[in-house]
Amino acid sequence: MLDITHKPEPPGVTVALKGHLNAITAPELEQQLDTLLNSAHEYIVVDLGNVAFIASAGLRVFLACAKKAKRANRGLALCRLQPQVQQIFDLAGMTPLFLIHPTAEHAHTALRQRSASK
Amino acid sequence: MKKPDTDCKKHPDAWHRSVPNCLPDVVAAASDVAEQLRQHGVSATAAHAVHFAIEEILTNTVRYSRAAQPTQIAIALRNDAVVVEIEDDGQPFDPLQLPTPQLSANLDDRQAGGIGIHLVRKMVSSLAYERRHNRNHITITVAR
Repeated sequence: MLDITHKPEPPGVTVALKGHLNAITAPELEQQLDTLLNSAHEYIVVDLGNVAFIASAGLRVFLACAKKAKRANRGLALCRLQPQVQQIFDLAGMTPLFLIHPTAEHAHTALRQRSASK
Repeated sequence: MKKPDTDCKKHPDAWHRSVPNCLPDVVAAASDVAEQLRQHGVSATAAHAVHFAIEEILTNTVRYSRAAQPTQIAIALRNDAVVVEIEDDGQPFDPLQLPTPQLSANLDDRQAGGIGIHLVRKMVSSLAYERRHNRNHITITVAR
């Protein structure tokens, strides 16, 4: 129901999602993001380009991940949000809390610069 | 509303579903209803709002209501709107009485819970609640 794939792009990693992010699939994503936050990757780019639906359980995963990333001084960005997913982020007031980019390349460039300036 | 059934999989009809109170059935039912609405010419935006509302309300029922029987969903297509009636025998739960969550723009202050029903209220055209015969009745209307 949600395919999760990792593509290391040092010093970061892209996590590409495909499917629905809901109460069933959110725990697995949270576990995988936690593992990546504890790995050597300096930042994570989550590609939501193939996510057609996000429930509040999915929002909670990203909120928790953003807090953990901040504490660990790791970068986190989201990219390619589809209109219905973007709408949920907007209505939840979560858009200002995240770095959101139109493409994975934009996200990597921004986070690489952030990482280099630390 | 029709007599409750025990297995929604026996009833592919979109207009009445009996959904066992477990998350896989809830998630599947919400997605199926949205797909069937799209097939009946309902806009993608409206179908998405119904998908989100059913999933959030029924997920809440599974987690907190202690309902004994499957949740009943009835869907009616009007010319201007989709009307969804959701009925369960769980503990009283009035979504209109939930406090509005603090949507702080500060990450450290932002709380994770309580957002689902709040979003449902924002996405639908109307939401009504009644407690009748020891059952919760939630009616949502979404403009087509």
